[in-house]
Order: sequence, then structure tokens, then C-alpha cells
Amino acid sequence: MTDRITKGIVFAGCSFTWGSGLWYYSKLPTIIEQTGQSFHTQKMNISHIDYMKSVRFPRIVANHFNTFEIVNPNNGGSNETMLEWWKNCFTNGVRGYKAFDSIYPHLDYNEISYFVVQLTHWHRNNFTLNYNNEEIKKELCGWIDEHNPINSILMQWLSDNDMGVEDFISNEIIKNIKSIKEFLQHLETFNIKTILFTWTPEYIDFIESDKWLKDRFIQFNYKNTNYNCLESLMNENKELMIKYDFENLENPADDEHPSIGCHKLIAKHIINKINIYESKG
Amino acid sequence: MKAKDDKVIKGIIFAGCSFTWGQGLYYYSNMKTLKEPEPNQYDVTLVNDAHKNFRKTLYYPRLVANHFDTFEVVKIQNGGAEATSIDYLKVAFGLMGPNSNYVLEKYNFNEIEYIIFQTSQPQRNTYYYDYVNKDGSIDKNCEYRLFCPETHDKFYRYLVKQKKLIFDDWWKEHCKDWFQKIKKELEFYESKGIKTLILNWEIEYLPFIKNDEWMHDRLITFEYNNKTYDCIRTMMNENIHLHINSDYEHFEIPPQDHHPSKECHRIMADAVIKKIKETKNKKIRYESKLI
Repeated sequence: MTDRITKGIVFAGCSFTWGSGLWYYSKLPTIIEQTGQSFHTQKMNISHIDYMKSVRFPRIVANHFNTFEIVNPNNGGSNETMLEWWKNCFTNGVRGYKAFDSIYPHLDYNEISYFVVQLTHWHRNNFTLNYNNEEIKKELCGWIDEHNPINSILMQWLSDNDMGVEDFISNEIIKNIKSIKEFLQHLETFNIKTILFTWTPEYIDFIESDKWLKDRFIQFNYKNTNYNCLESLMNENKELMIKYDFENLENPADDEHPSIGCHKLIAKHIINKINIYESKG
Repeated sequence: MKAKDDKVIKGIIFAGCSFTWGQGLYYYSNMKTLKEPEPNQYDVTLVNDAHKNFRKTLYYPRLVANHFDTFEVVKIQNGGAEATSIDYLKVAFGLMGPNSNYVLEKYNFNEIEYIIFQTSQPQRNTYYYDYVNKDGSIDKNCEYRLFCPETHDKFYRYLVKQKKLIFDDWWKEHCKDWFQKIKKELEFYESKGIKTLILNWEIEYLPFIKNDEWMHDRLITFEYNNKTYDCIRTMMNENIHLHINSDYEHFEIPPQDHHPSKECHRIMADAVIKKIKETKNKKIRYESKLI
């Protein structure tokens, strides 16, 4: 046998990595359009999911390297739930074996070559505070609502802790990205190479100032312009959203997730990054 | 939402035994976590998630699906025979109650373009018969299973005394019976608008397939080293390196596993792809004889 070991690639992220909306490209007769950005599993079936898996960027990358991809089977999530899920997957056989293809893979560190993480909105993480001797846990977007800028309990807590809103937000974003970095560094101690890119822009300043993260960070080049997050890439090139992909869909669904072309573009950049790693040995 | 072109991308269901499941392909990963079972055995506890995921990147169903930019559906559990393949298809289309060994969810007929039915070994299909005892009482639904010696004696008595057949004649009848069952199933799915093709492993079904135009139209043949084969068995016997256990190109000491090698899966995939393309260009009779 050759010495070459073919290991898998883990893709961690939210609905962008999962491939939300890609089923519209199948044109299967059973497709039911979702309303806006909502996602109702009862409108979906297994064929839609199977098709989506066959065209999303994790499969494109894995096929390119003749290996397999592992993606969380659940749609969506925060950076926090993503970390929790993947930490539990690396069991190295401790929990034993499940007889059938399960939705919860049991992975050994030496079965994985790359861990590719797509960052999502910071305010999807939870924040817990103590108020009147009661622990209150909420998603950050619940504490800091777009329409009601700040929750009164949080306001009181900030005041008690002598902290401004801006500092609070900044701290949470840094905590968020630091927890990702910590996990990626943990994986690298097991010889798993790590790559990251981001949907939303709020982490970019921190990443740019951190050489370790910057070395692993993917920027996107599209039509001769560089973009450091998917949000700016897609906002400036609307065809990279399903809802504006008039090249492939006549009346596209009202879905702002990455189009099939955007998935190909993301795959291309990940492949390039992996090729750079591999050429360095 | 309205599609810009008429091309509907439907899935392909593959039914078969360990040949379709891709047993042994995980050995090509060279992962440290690989463990070999006893020679030519399959130990479910030794095949973990990463092995199974890697196996899927090399098995012919994925190679075919990738070629057509679509998805493949394959039975979850390894192994099986015609009987389990027929049941698996029923479960997959919701015609039978759920079975988590087969598939976890139901598919609609109009979401599947092709069924690729890989035949296995007729002897794996249990034979059921009613046995008349000396006192005239009847033992209903007695089983004859080749791999289960305790079922043999009674069955042989049944053959001689009731059926009045020698084993070889019964065997032909058994193969013909399963051939007809396969055909009936395929005709049913074609009546639902799904095209069907047959990938044949063993030689037993070949005489029946060749004598049946409808089935013969759907038979997939294999091209290898300037020869054409109509069953996997013959191709692998004549090209021993197409077994994992003789694949010295990839292994210094090959695993003791007789299943199709990585190259063999590529050959099978190419054969399926070619047949699918032919069926799109040629006029194959896809009308159903069922009412």
C-alpha cells in the first residue's frame, strides 16, 4: 500500500455551509418555495436534501481532492453551537460505535486532514447574566434587538459592571472569534490543518491583526475585486444570491443564501487554499 | 419560482448487495483506524463513520451520480439479496413501513430518474414452502436457506417426496422465480415513470435475461481490456486484480476481502453511465406492461 492517507475534510458553519436553498436548482417537481428567509423542514423532503448535498461547496471541494466531506446535517446555527457540535464529534472511539449512518459522526483526529470553518453572525451566540440572583440566558440578538436597541435587564447589568454597549459588543465579538481560534489551535495539535472564512464582517479587524488567524483566512476574488467576507461579496454581486440568480432561475425564490455559482466560487477558493498548504508540505 | 430550463435533476436509486454498498473500499483510505476482520468477513463494529464516508467517495453509485450532477440513494446497511433489494425499494418509496436498516426517509416517484438494480446471488433468497407431515398435518412457510444447514434436511425431503424434483431442477425454478420477481418489480417502477437498469453479478440470471427482450434491453454490460462482459462475476474471475484481495497495484499486502476493487467500481460506474446515455439516445422500450 502507498503511504498516502486519504483523510476527510470537515466543513463547519451555518446555513451557508449547509447549502440552504440549493434545492431550487434541482427543479424537482416536489419543491415548495419557502417564504423569505424562513426555513420549514415540513416543506422539505429527502430528495431536496440529497440534491443539495451533491452541489454544495463541501462536496465540490471533497470531490476535487478525491476524499469525503463531513457537514453538520442540521441547518443553521451559531459559532457557539457549531463549536459545541464539532467538539462532540471528535470522540476517538470513546463512545463506541453506532451501527448505521448516524447524523452524529464519530471522528478520530487522525481521520481528518482539514477543518474548514465558516463564521456566522456573532449575535447568534448566547449570553448569560446574573440578575436579581437569577441566571438569564439568551441569544445576544435577544439582548440587543434591532428595534429595541437594548434590553433593560442588560442595561442594568452593563451599568452594574461599568461597561458601555459598544465595549460589550466588541468584547462579545472578540470572545466569539477567540473561542474559534482556540478550537482550531486544538485541532492543529492533532495535525488537522485549519482554514477559515466569514460570512459577516465583524471579525475581520481581529483576524487582520492576528497573524495566526490571518494565515488561515480566505478572502474572495470575484471579477477582479477582493472581498474579505461573503456579505460584501454577495451584496456587491447580487447574482451570487439565489434570489437574484436570473441566469439559472427564471423567477428565483426569495432566498438570500449563496447561489450555486457562489458555492462554486467558495469551493474554488478553498481548493486554492488547500493547494497552497499542500505545496508547502 | 420558475425554472429557466426544463432540465429536472432527479436522483438515482441503487439497489444491491455489498457490491453496491462498496464493501472493502475503505481500505484504500489507508487510515490508521482501519482494522481488518477475519478473512472475507464483515464486522460492522470495525467500520466507523470516516471509513463509511470514504467508501462512498469510491463506490460506483457516487461516481455515476457525480457524472450526472445529481444524488445517489443507496441502502444504509451492507449486504443483501434480491429479496432485501426489493423490500428496500418499497421502503424507499413508502410502499412498506419504515426500516432504518434500509433508508431513513421516503422518496417520491417523480424525484427519481433511474433505479439501478444490481442482482446478487439467488441462493441468498430464502425459499418458502409448505411441508406435509406423515400424519397429513401441514407445516406452513418452512424455510430453506443455503447458508443455514439446519434448514436443509427437511427441504430435501420436501423436494424428493412432495415436489418430486432433483435439486438442480429446483434451482433453475428458484432462479427463474426470482428473475420474474425482479422483472415484476422493475415493471412496477417503470409504470411510475422511473427508468430501470440491471447490473448483473452472477451468471444464474443471465439465461433468463437473454431470453427476455424487455430485461435484456435494460442489462448493463461492462467493457474491460477490449472484452465485453455481461456479468460482474465473469469479469472479475478473468481479471483477478479487480478483487480487493488481489489488487497489488494499490496494496503491498492486500486486505483479505474479495469485493470489487476501486478500479472495478470505476468500470461498473462507466458501464452504468454509458448505459444511461444510451437509453437517452436510443429508443429503449420504457412503456410499462402493467395496467
